[in-house]
Amino acid sequence: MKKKKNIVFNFYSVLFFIFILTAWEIVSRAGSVPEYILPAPTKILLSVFINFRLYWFDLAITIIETLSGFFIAIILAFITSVLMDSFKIVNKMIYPLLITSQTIPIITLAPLFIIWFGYGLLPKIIIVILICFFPITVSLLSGFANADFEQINLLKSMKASKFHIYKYIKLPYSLPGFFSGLKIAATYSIMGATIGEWVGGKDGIGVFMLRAKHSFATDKVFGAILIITILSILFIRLIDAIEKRSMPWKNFEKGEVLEE
Amino acid sequence: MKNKIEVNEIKKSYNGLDTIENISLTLKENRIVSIIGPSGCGKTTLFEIISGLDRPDRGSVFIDGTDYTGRTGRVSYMRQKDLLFPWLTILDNVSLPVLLKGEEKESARKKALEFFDVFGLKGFENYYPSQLSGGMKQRAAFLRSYMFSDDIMLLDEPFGGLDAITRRKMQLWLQELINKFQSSILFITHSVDEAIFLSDEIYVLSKRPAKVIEVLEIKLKKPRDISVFSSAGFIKIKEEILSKLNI
Repeated sequence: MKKKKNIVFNFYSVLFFIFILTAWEIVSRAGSVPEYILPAPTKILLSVFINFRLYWFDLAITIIETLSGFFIAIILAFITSVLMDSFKIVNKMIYPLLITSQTIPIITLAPLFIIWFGYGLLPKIIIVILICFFPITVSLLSGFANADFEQINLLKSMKASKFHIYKYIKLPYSLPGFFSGLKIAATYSIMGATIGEWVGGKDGIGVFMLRAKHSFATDKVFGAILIITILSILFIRLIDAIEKRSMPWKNFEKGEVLEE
Repeated sequence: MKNKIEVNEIKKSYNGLDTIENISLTLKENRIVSIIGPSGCGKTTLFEIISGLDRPDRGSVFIDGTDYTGRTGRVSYMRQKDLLFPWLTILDNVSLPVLLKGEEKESARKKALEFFDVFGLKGFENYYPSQLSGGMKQRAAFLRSYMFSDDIMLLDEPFGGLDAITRRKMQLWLQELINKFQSSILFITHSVDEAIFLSDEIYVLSKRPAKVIEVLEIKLKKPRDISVFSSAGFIKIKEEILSKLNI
């Protein structure tokens, strides 16, 4: 099997990236830009290391909000998509709502949730759920709907139940789409939680950023950005790893075919 | 000989378009009956009705003397496409029908494993379908059908997607296999040669709306080998079928 080409990291892109960082470092160190506007990359890194304990608590809160919202969204998406796929009436009821609801920028609802549910974790979790729900539900739905009709008929001719058809055809068929949906949801989920914290909250990396902003600790703002980015990457990587493990047959699809 | 399948005066139309005008046929025990006819004449519709996936507008389907019109779950139905599930290994694909009947995973696998040798799949139990050649996939699909119902099988163009050489190999293999097992088989094909080579009886259908225009008994001695294709008896039957199909 041919190894997949890594499009993110090649020699030239790494070189260019190092060039940008160096230029940034020089500009900042030379004092041509004040430190509270653009701290040097090394100073940002240093601040992350020195203040790690400060970041850690707020980061944990944000991770809790993100993950709980994410998992609740997955469960809700599963229930909704199975119901919509099994019952035409449910589909007719919910589908138009689901689509039009996407014209509402969900983040604009955040102040409302703060009024309703206070400054704790709940409003942020709700925002994350709302953000993640759509891409996961839609990817599952299209997976279910596009499953091979002939394969379903074959199982039906073997007297398979509805449960069997989901288990052996619709779910495995929708897995690749489901994981793409998960990855979209994952990226948005951390953003949703952070912005939710900006709107109103006591803890979390978003609140940490606000505090840093108020005291013009720009290195800490950058530090938070760095940490959130790393968190996003790890999240996606984790989903990638789970995706590979849950679809072992994909590893063979481009392999050689045996001859008799 | 017992009648395994009796199809009585079936009629079917879709959206006002008559697909099947009138078909009756009988499949006796341990026989292979082929159905041949112009493409698009409703052969697959006929199989969907016999397997119970679809209901006829008129007429009935009796299997083993019981009315099975519009009821699934009695006969196995194999199509031209292998329809193997890419996410299951060959062993899991093949043991799936047994699993659906409510058996435990391990005992279902054990039952399927017994047949891997005869079906030429030994050693490929843990391969995924995408790793196998076309002929092997068809054999796996065939074994899966066999695991569901070993006494009555509907085969809809099972070798239609294979190249000529693999196809010939599969025909020889299938004939050998049928001699070993006691199955009754209904077989759809576009190939007159294939039909004559494999069958005890051939139903020739008209173009849509389909009706039976001829039923031929193939009396060539069994088991048949490759020399049959050039025998005088074979050519005579072939000419007769071709002349019927041309009207």
